[in-house]
Amino acid sequence: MATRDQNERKFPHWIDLPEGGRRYWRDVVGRQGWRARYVKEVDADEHTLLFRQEIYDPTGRLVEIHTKYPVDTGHQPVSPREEEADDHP
Amino acid sequence: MITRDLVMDKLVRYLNGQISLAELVDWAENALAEAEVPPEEAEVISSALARLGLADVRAFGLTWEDAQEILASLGYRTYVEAKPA
Repeated sequence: MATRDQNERKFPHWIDLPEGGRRYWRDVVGRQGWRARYVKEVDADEHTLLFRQEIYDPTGRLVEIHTKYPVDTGHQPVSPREEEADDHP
Repeated sequence: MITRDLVMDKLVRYLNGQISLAELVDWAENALAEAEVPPEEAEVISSALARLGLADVRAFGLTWEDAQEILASLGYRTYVEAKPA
């Protein structure tokens, strides 16, 4: 399990969540304007609750999600409704 | 502890056909999620892991030039050697 210091080193961005948890993220720039974001959510003890990849097209639209933890779902395309419901940074 | 050497080794194993792309990607994703990295090298190693974890995504992929760039960021030069089959 990664410590808070470790997570802060590996993920340059974070926000504090209610009840002491955190959402960390790290962005990667791809080809021709595509972008990816790794999101890691932890509880107050830095136990991982969620880890996933988000893929954004050149217009900034979320087009694919790969949830790695708690269950590895593989790459899943995102429908427009799912994108609207996604409200995190 | 994930070191620059370890990342280099995994990528070279993939380039040499010793591990699959899926194995490389899975390893990189898990390492980014939970592994410990040396504080002084956290950014360069995390950046390499993040990039490798996207190698199976069409918009990212992993070309030879990408691999060279990642290895260079880790402090390695690359060259190709061919041997008789």
